[in-house]
Amino acid sequence: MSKITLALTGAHAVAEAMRQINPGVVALFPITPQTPIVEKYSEYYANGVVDTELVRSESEHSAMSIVMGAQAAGVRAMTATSSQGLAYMWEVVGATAGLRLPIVMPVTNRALGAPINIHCDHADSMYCRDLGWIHLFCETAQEAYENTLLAIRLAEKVSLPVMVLQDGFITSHSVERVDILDDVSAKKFIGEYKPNNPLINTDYPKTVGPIQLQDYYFETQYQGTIAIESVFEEYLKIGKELEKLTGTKYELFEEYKLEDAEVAIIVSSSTSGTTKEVIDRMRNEGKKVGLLNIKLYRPFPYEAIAKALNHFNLNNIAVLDRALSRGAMPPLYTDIKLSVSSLNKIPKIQSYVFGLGGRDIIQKDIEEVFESLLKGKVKENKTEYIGLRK
Amino acid sequence: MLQIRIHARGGLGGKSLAQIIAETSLRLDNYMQAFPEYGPERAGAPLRAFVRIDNKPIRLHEPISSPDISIVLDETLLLSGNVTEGMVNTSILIVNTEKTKESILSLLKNYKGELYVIPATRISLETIGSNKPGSPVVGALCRFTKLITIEALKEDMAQKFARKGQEIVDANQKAIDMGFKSLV
Repeated sequence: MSKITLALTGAHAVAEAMRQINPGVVALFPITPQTPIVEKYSEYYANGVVDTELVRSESEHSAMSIVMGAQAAGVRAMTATSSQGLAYMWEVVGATAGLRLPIVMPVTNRALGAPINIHCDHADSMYCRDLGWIHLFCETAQEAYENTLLAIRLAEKVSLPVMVLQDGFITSHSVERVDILDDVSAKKFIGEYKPNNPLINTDYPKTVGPIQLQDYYFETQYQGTIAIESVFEEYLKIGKELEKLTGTKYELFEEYKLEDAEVAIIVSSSTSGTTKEVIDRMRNEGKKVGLLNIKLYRPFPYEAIAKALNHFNLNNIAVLDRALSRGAMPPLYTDIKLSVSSLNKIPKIQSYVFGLGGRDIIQKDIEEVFESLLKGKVKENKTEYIGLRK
Repeated sequence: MLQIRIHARGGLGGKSLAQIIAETSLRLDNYMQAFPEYGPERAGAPLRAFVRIDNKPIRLHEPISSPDISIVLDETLLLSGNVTEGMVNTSILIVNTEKTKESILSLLKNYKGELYVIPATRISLETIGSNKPGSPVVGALCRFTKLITIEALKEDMAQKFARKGQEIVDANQKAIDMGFKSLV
């Protein structure tokens, strides 16, 4: 097994993973900042590097419908999207989860209009969090590459679709050092696709997606719920296998200097990298600050997070959401609040919203959050907005 | 960690320059990050691009507010006033211009760092045949850091432009050499 080191953007790192997966069908429709993923994949197709059936669809709704049909028929099928594109395919996104189709879709997180905006926030995938897909947030291009491979195995193991999320532009368009697996090792890890109950089987003709009314709909929904709960165990198991090849540890979330922290930030994606830089600097000044970096977001690991936050010293926490839930508290904050509710000593939690529409979040902003936590400035159930002009 | 900020205009090769610096530093086994600031993409519009190079993984995800080196590919950007933003005594400013250092300095307010000038547009016109000041500038950059070298740059150019033919490769490699020598 050998690693190949390349200079890749997050988008091209995902395209590399897709090249190694070589799905039976890829349906594509461009949307910024996802476009370089399907652009690169089309180049591989045109150069004969992959033997996928490449379908140029006329919309994202069609792209997801094509992928749904192909996967139901019995091949691996992929597409990628962002923002309005994800919103437009929403109906079919839900249907694929209902049909228990193991589709993997890279998503470059982008703000959702209006006002129209091409830059990063997490509104697009957050508004899909209840549709039955597995959500995996990635901090770097490296992680986006590795998680795309892991997602294929996970999806096929539990018969559920997976979104692999990276920050639009910040990760998708930033060139980084990325180690990719050699094709033989990657393909061996990915494995041959054995479809579960495919549609195209003339010995056992069947229907996929028939109507279910009062008599069975509820039970089918419950089965999906049971399935997604099995993800924690399977994710860790498949992660162990991939770790042997990449050397990366795949955990439900990352704890960074959290063990003895007095205050902590909880955030996902690229912002967690910047937060680690700030933590190292503040630790040198003797300030006990830490991070919990969210990776597996759906299903949400309530119990494991509660355990990680169950430290005697940990007093105040800030949850940084890159999306709103208008008229309610933001999504990640709500999830964290619920996680800690079972603890004997419940830390105080401040909600922050940051970076909407690509507004920069810089070290100084994060340092200020830590400083306020250290001073005990926490208002529960009230959101503060980082870098907002009021 | 070395932090470089590039000030350019759409179509001048600012984004490619950032990418070449990053790719070359990777050849020398460094960690790197290169990203442009995306606005509406129009030829001629001001554009900034950023490069970070280090010998360990880079975790920061924010624009570079205090660069070690700031590169100005189009001297008309000096007038907009932010090319020296966040720079200190030890910072290095490289300007693509035919003007003297003194006349450039007179355009800069309160700049305390080092200043270098290079006629990169002229060099690129003479070698490559079009206004692509990135190649001479990246050659000149090798005078300030060991994180990229002339040899590694030439290798990168040879690979990047292989499909465009040997002539293009030679022209860019010549531009790199001339850039290295022409910076004052």
